[in-house]
Amino acid sequence: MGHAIADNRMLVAGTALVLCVLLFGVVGSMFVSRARADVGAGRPSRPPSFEYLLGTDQQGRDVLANVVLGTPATVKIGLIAGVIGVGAGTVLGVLAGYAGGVSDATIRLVIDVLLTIPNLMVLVVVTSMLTGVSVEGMGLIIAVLAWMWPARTVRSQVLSIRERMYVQVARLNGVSPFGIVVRELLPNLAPFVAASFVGTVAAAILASIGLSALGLGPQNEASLGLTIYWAIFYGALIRQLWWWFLPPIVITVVLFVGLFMMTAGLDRIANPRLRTTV
Amino acid sequence: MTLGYVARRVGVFFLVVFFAVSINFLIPRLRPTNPIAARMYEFAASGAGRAGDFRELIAIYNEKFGLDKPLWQQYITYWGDVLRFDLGTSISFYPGLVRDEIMRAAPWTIGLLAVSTLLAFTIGSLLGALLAWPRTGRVFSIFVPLLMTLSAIPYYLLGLVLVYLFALVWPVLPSSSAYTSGARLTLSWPMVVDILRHAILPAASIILAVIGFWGLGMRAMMITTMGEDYMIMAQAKGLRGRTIFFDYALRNALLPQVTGLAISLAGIMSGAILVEIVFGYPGIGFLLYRAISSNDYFVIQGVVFFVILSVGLALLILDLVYPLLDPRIQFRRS
Amino acid sequence: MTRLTFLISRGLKWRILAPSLCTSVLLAAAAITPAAVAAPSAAQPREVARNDTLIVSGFGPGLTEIQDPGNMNPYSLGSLGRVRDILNKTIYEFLYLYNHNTGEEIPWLAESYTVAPDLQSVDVTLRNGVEWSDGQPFTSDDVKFTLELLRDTPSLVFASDIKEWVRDVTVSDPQHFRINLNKPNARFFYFYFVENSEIHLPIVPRHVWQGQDPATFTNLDIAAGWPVGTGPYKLVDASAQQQLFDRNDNWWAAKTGFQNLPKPLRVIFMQPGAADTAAARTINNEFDAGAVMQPGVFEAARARNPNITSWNTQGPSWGAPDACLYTLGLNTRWGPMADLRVRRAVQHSINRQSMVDLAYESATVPQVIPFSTYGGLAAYQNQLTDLLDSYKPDDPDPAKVASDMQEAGYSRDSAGFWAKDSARITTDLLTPGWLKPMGPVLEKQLRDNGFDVTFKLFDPDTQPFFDIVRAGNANIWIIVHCGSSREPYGTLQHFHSRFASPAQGQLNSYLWANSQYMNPEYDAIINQMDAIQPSPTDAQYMDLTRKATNIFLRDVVEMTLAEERHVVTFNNTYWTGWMNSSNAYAAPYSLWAPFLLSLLRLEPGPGA
Repeated sequence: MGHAIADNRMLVAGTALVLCVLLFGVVGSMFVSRARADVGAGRPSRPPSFEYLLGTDQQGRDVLANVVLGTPATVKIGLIAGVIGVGAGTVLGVLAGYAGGVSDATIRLVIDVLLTIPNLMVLVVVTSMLTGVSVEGMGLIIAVLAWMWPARTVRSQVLSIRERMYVQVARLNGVSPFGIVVRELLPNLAPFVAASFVGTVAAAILASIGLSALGLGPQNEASLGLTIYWAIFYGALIRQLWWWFLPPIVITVVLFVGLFMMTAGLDRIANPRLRTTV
Repeated sequence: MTLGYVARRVGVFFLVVFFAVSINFLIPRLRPTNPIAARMYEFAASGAGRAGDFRELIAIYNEKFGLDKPLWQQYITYWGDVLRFDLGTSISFYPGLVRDEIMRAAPWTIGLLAVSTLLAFTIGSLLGALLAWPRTGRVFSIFVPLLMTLSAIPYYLLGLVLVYLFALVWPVLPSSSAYTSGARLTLSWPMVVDILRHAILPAASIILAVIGFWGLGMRAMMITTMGEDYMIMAQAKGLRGRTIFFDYALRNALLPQVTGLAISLAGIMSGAILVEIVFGYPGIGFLLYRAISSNDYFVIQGVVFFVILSVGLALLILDLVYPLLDPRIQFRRS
Repeated sequence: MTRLTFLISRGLKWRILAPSLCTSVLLAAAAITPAAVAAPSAAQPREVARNDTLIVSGFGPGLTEIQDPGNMNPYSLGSLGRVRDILNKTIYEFLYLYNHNTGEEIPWLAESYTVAPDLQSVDVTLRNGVEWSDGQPFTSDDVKFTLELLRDTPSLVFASDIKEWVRDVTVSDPQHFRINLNKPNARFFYFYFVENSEIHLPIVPRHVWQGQDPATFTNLDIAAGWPVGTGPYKLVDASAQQQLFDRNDNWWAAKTGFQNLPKPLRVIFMQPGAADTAAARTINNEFDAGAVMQPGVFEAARARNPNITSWNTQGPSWGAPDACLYTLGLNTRWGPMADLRVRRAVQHSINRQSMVDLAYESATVPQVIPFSTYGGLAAYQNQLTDLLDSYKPDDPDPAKVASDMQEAGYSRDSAGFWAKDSARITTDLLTPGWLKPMGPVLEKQLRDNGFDVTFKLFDPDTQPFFDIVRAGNANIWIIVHCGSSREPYGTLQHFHSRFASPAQGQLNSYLWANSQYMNPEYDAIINQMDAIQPSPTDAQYMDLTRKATNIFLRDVVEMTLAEERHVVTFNNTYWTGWMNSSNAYAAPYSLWAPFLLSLLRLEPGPGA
């Protein structure tokens, strides 16, 4: 397994990119003073200079500080939604796949129905109805529509694992269903759950940036989407204040490319057939 | 295709509709905000400042729009309206009809979305297949990282970057809306060109964002297909490269891609909504955004219902058609 | 894992390519269908050249499509938008027009009006020769019909206002009538018939409206010539994309010589779309007037197209006032702000100039009393400078904040915030969506001075904001205060106790008067002002103004921050002659009725 990971260039490269972004955000936050990311820290809309490496925005914030502080908030939303979504999805997927029968049919039905709903649209409508969403609140709301894919993936894996030899043996040996789940299923599910997790986190970050960029996200904490919102509000595009709206976009792209590569890499580990390809 | 399969798919569709209607009913009521009062406050905020108190006006329209009855009664009335396809009267546009507005906006979204998705699917799949084929030139291999990067970028961010580059820095394309304002919408050649010109950037945002997904997926499928025994058989038969490529490899690899299309439909719809907002493209997504900004609950409900219904219907059709394309499905248990 | 079985597929590629090709062609056609399904009008409007056409954008940024093009009723639900967007410059004219910049009242459909000494009636003389677009004469009967219709139909907009004030209208002859009021009101005619910026009461033709249900009547039938008005344009086409008005060459004013026919043969109205759209289209010469831009965006647009102008000829404040003032509201009756010393401390915490710089790109001016900078008000404000000098409302100073708070019994707690008896002042700074830029800026200024304030945004739904503020449940909030476009009383009256909530938790009577201030001495002043006409040279009026302003400043009833200004843009490529600060014949807002004056003065521009 260790060889597989080291050989898996996609996974390594992807993880490296994501780590870069996380370091930038988390470690950077320790060195950047909050005051610089506040309004009025500098003169408005100044291009990059020695003092302000990425210039200032129209309300005087230091763009670099703002973006450094905004990255952890954005990632946090993704993590909250990812953990809850994958957690709930795994539990429901195992239940559906292993128990079968009515619970399987019900869960499958709910999954199928919810998957046809464009979740961003519902999120946009729901967040616009609420007054003031916090970072945690947003993570929770996104999680509600994030569990279906993990559940589906886990369920189909459970269905195939359930018929394997070693599971039959365990059952014949009188191991309790719960024991089988914990000892036989979960370890084999691990790569799929990991791939699902990364995918869900990516989708959640995507949703949160989209909502914040529309002005529907948390207002009182810096986040990448909020930076984009203010940039659009003050016409940064037409005024060609590139130092304001490009940094959040670049960080988002790097983060997503990294997450994407991680998912592809984890997919290969989960699905060994793909490993033999170029 | 068994009757059971069809029955299940249709059943899921009806459940989707039921869910959509119920969710729709609940969403505006997440707030204790009275839609009519919200609209009145809109007017007030936009400058009708001295028009005094609206309480009487609100009471009258509450009664007209049925908002003073108990919740369960409103729910039943709502179901009745939905079944009659009466999506209600818009508060903004009283006495205009929500249905009319959706019908005005829908062709724009359908046109943009459908063309972009189809183009992305076709180009992406072809590109992906070529990338997997060993006899393709090395120059194509640059596309793999390119496609990966593109597919990772959210649609609307891509839209913003495209607007910046091609409408502002190098002003070659229009940055917003669907046609030049002031022109009458007629079916004339200059008008068609104008519409197409305005559609290039929004379509490009969607295509570039989605193409990676199809391309890389197709490449993976092709690689799997190429490992099959019948491919060796085809080569042994001495068939031409192109024939093997199209009729044997592509043909078989393409079908699971269609499943991928079905799965990603809801996601593409979401992305299209954001693209429309960025570009001010007057489709369903922008209609929803406007309705949210002006607190027009009836339009919000109508759009959400319409979108969920459309996506559900599209998926149903795809699910029913796919087994016809691929007879192997019949022999697989679900 | 099942193995993929072998499939012979000779010619099968066509089974896939052919249908996908067909589908894409069909769907491409679907992309063009909006052109085909666009609602056709009764008769296709004739061709008019671009340089004879005036294209006006709605006040934006905002929508892309016209809201409900099928309804031209100026009084049903949603109508105020219609009147202000399109009808008040084209179809309907008003008894008077008003130049906000100077305070000049311009007689239009009426020649004169007289307020009775007991303030309970207004005698109005109409101009001779005014005709409806169908040739019928415009008379007092139409006015009587309109006002009594509003009085008697509660579901119409402004019905409650008219019901409150108007008893009836007595007609003495086609050119003379008298409006009889229920209670004395010195300013009734001015508010409802002269200013025409926010309130508009178009007079409707009795011969068309009689027998119609005014709440559902769409007032639209192009073949029949509806909507019928007296204005210089008539509606020829209305769709979701735009509304077209062609010049009515039979306009009564041209016939009688009162005015010349406007030069644009056609006026087209359309919505601006998002902020970027509005700017892009103006740069492209797709809009001639109306699009509102942020100051920085305006400068960037002007750099690309020098024909784009706004109100002021020099920056950074390009925009024009709109009689409203950005205001920090304070709850003078309940909560921590009820203590005058705390309010003074808040006042000493705010740096208005910095707020203007950071929130509004330095594009407006700080103000300390709730009067706009319109010319008519200068005469009043000049007589109040000594009060401003003695109270010094614009004096941000942390030392003074400290002394005020200490006097009130507060001290800084361990986190540096003001607290009394270990209870810290922690509150939300309520901010409605359209005033968003001020939120983060004011929050920072207050926090830096020791107030634990968090800005709370209400967007897009502002109703909860109003519910909280109007019930006296908010401590501090951001809002606009409008009303003093020609006299101080306009805003000063809102601090009368009649506007306060009877008890905390109950809504007050007026949306915009939320200070909850209760002071019988102040009430007495306003009661007297109610009953007299405004004039900067009237000794009694000025004396009352000084007394009221003195109390306002002394008690920090609310904090006026800055004047609200908007950068309304004009594109001089096709049409020129627009109003601006050097040619200030009317306010530049396309939503206000006096905009008609610019239509009448336009000359063709240099062209594209």
